[in-house]
Amino acid sequence: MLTGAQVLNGLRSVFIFLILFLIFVTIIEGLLYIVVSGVRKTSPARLVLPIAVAVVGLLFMVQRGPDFPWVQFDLTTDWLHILLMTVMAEVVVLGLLLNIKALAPLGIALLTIVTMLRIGLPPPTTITGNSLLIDEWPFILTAGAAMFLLMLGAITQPKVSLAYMLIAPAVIAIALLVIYPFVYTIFLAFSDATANFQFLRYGKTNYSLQLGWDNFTRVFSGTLLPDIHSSFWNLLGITVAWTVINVIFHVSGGMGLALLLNRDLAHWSKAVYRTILILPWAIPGIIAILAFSGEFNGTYGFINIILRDLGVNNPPQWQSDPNYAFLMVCIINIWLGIPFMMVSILGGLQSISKEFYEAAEIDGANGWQQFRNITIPLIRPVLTPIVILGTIWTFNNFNVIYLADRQGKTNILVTALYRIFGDLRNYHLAAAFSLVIFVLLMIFAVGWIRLNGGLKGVYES
Amino acid sequence: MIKQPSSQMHSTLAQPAIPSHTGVRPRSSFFRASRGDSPFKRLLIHLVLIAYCIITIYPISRVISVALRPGDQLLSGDLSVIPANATLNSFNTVLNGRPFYEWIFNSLLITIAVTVIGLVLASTAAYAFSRFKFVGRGPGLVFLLANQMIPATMLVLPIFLMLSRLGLTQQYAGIIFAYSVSAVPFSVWILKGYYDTIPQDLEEAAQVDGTTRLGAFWRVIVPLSTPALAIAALFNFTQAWNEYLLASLIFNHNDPTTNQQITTWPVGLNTMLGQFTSEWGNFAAASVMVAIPVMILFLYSSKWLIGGLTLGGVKG
Repeated sequence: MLTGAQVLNGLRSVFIFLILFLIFVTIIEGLLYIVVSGVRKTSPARLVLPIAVAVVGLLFMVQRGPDFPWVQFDLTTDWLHILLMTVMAEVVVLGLLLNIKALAPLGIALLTIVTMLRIGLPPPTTITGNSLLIDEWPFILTAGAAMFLLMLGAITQPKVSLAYMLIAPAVIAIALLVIYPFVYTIFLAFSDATANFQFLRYGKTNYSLQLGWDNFTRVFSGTLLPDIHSSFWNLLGITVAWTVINVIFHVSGGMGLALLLNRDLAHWSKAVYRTILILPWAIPGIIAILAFSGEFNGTYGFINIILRDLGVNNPPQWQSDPNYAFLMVCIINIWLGIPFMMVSILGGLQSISKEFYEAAEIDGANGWQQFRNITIPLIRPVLTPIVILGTIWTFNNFNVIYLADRQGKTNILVTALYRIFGDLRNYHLAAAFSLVIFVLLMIFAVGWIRLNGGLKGVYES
Repeated sequence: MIKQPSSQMHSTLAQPAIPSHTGVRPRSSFFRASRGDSPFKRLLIHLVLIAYCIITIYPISRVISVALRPGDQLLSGDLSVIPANATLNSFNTVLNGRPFYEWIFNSLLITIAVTVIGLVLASTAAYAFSRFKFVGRGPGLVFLLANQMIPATMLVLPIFLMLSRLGLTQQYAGIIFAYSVSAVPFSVWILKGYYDTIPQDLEEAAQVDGTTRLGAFWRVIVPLSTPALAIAALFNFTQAWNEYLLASLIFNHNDPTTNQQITTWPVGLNTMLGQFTSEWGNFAAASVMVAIPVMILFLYSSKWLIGGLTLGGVKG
């Protein structure tokens, strides 16, 4: 049961986290601001301070990593620190907003002092014999490199330095949560990491090229899961089949329903149909998947009950027969995915002027010719991106297969990946495997970009 | 290639029904004639749509019917939507016998914090991408698009390892931190597209009146872009609310004897359906209680949501 203490504890830690976020943002912004104002007055000596503050701050944060005292405040005893930090952060924000140049550096200086007082000097250099500075250096490096690039941009282009300040929080967060994990995956692929305490807590594991070679050859030659049908090529084949089947049914089903809804039906009936038809999209996916998979139960699910009523004597055991399990996840995903396609295509159809169809009708074109020569060309700008998006989403669709197929009879690449690190805890193999999947996706993306004439639209807009 | 009349280009709303070229507006609105659809054809259209509506609704209604069944009839071959001797016992069990409030509280807390942080990150970055020409803008936008391609399954392991290294897997802060950027790339694209449509004169006027550039952003752009911010907030919200991968990874790695773990509702619901002891009735009751508010929110906001999706999609 949920107790009052739990609620308080939760609210407190989230409140503190939000304050820390504010502080984090203001430190970044303040540093960039000092850099920019330093550059404008052409005094490079001013650069020394912000860089030193950044480095020292990062080192402190990392060295105290395992305890993470920042988030273990107690509101009853630490209220003064929290209050002070908030005030300081606000001073910096105000300084930036009101363009009072002196306030930002002042706020940052005070903030740093308060933070250091809170953490306590000097920090422990080692924790149970492991220097975290060494184990966590990629983490520092990523954030530091992002900050360095931002500073570089702000220094070289002082006229648009505000842009760098505005993107700084997002860039650093993405660097820590996308780029660092990606780089770390490459490291893991050349290691023998598994779920033991030393690795989970301190990141201690062996790295070598030989280990990397072993991991990658195992991805391509061995079986990845205990199931004998789980070689890489087998999984790739199933993934391609899964993607193609689903996208074809999503697009054709969505197109069919959208075309029907786009006929001149009574307005209210259209609204009712539309609301009902988008329900599978509106339900939280996990609930829909779990509930639907239960209905494929061999004895009690409604699908087999209906099949038996229709006279099928031995309805399939969906969960235990691998072929039927694949059919089952396809049915569930098609049911789930049609509404999105339908709604997107309907939006495109409604923007096509009716004059085209009237003109075509006068010229004597039949329904198919109208669809072929008017609807398809005019809907292509809407259709192409959603088909691409749908393909990527289906290829990466983890939830449907993992949650619906309770006995793990069907696997595509991403579910096999999860089973390797989540269930088998084989981190090094999973890392190598995920890099292979990533390369496959990149080949697909580059091919698509080549076919569609580059990314001009992105640069121009 | 046929060019469309430009006035029609952006109207995605339903157009008013124009009387067809016969010039006579038929009486019956349910089977109104258009583009030469015969009554038979219109009947057929309605039949197909009604058939698919049944396919859509029946599995959903089954969840409600399972939730209403008494405990001894959970496994039965009954097909009716409202079962005989319907009871609210399962709801009672979930609310009083399972940590349901705790799951919802955890999810809600994490989701709200993630939404706030995601919005702050995305709205400021989108403003920079929309208004400034700086080195790294083009590659940055392409990177944000390419981000969509990286499977979440791939990043979840290193993020989990990072959290466990920092000792944050049992803390709200760690989970919020890990979720915080998941919807940011998409939100940046949506918001940038919207900011592009706001004329720059407005900010310049504000700056003439004496505010700074950031002041203009805060006082002019942010209030004007409320619809786009609402879409971005919704995306962040649904992304965090439905996140299952990392939550389950943390849950699976936890020592079940410590009750320190933070369980969100997707993981909690999934634990109800263990291999041997499936609590279908309780699961269905919990599902109904989670799904109904979300469905209402979704249906209420679907118009903007769909507009936002195509806005982000067409650009890509």
